[in-house]
Amino acid sequence: MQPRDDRSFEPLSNRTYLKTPENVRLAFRLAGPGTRLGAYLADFVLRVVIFYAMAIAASMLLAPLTGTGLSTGLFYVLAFVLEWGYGCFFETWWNGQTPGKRLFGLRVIKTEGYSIGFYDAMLRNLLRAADFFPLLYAAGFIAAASTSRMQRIGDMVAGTMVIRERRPELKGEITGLANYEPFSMNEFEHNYRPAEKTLEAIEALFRRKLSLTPARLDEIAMILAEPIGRRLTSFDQIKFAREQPAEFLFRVLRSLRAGREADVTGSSAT
Amino acid sequence: MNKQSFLRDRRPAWERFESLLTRAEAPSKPKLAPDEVSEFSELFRALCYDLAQVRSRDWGSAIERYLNDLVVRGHGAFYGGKPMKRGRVTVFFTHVFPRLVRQNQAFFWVAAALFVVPMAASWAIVASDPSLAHRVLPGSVLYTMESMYEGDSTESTQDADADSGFGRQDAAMAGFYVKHNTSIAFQCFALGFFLGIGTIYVLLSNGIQVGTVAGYVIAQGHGERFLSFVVCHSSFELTAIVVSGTAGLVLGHAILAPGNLSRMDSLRERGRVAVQLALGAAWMLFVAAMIEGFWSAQPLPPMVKYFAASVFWLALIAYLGFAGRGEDPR
Repeated sequence: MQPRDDRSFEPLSNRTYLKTPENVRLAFRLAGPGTRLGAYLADFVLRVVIFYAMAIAASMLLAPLTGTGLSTGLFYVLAFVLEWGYGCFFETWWNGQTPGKRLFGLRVIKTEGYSIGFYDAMLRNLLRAADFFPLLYAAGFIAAASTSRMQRIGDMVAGTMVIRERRPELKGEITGLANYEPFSMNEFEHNYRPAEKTLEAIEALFRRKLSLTPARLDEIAMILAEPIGRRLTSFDQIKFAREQPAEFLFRVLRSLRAGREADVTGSSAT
Repeated sequence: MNKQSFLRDRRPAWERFESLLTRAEAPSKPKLAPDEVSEFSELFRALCYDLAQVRSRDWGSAIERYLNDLVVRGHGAFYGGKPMKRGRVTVFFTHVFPRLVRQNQAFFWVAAALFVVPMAASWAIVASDPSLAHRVLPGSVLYTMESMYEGDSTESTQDADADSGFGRQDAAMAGFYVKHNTSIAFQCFALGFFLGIGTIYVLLSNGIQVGTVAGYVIAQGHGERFLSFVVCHSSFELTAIVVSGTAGLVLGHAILAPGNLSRMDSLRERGRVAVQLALGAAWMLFVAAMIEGFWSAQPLPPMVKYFAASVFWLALIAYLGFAGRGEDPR
């Protein structure tokens, strides 16, 4: 039933992994309580708006045509459908998303990694009554906090989880790197080249350059500048890496990334 | 092979896969042609291999993320659930639901006892001493109940309201019952998660309340009006509450006695049964509300109502007891 995964112990991670029959490990980013609350509130506001629109339509447009009896009856039925059917309807027809979830980039999927069906959507939404117990989703919060996939009670019974979908991140080119003087690779030990992941870490730091104070920037940069700097051959350069770690790292990045950023995938990750 | 040549070689395959995938994911009718399905499967396997390769060679997280997401979507499309057939909806009501009630009849009878015994007890007690009704329900509720069934005033108020064709309050009341009763039924189901205790509480308290109202109104001397009003729709209404209780007990039992499964798996398996029972209860309550709004409120002689009631009760017993035996229609 439950997919066996090869999740290593990551107590603070918001990721969950799934091994497919093709023997590939897939990574999913779970949605935490914050974004889920946001999506819930967005849906709540929308539901309130629909509720009042229905009330106005029933009392002002329908009542004169059909009499108050039928319009009131219809209003009650629709209010019921809105209360209990909203999540179920959207999650079934929009493949695991409600308008609020779409706004926050969330989606409900089965824990096996594929899309949910009608009964799944219905289960997880009817069981909101249990999640809400005794008030303000206390039971649901405890359940989500104590399951590895952050499932509230409805998710546990339906076998679903809420994930954060990646928005197309148009990171694209980083600009301003040209101001840094590149190293020649000869200045490093023989055949040395930092791993792709290391370069990405430097790139991420470079993107955050303006939001950090220079002191903090250097402090973070030191973590990488130290080991990379040790691979340099010239003593002066090692000293430079120690003294201006951020500057040093960006120069390393420039030397390895110059003119090569037209990567195929850089901007097409959907 | 380096990263650049890898990307150059493999990218057309990924793009082809993505275009097939987008069509497979779309809700529109004609999805993939048979040969496209095998192409999809082949490309999917190749894609999985590419992802593994990118990971092992550490070619950067941008490309890894791109491939991971593509595999995630492909996995969903490839292994995802069966499409819903249109005929399943009617088959659910004609076959699946009554069958599920019979399959879980142990829970059904327990739920029925939890509801009917307190109802009968409070009915008998309140009938012998109506003042006790105030211990269960506030005076305002009892007053409303009493005035609903007293005298012959209902007919005249209905006439006054019936200025336009459908202008009677019947429809409004029917709508209110759909909302109110079905909400209780869904809660009764959902609270079953707490080891069935929530369900038991809802069943007991509703049984006591219904019994109290019945005992009180009859003790006030409105017996015939009350009984002739409720006897028809109570068939579907009270049974639906018991069915929603059944759903809640199934859920609670899944945690208490998971058998050979883990509790999580047991919940998932029995939850699927329970939600269908709850759905069936909702549909029964809808039927009950229609009967209540449009038939029970009709000013007809009690004998007619009693006769109709026996028809409703027999129909219900036949439905839950016998519908859906034998083969499924295709």
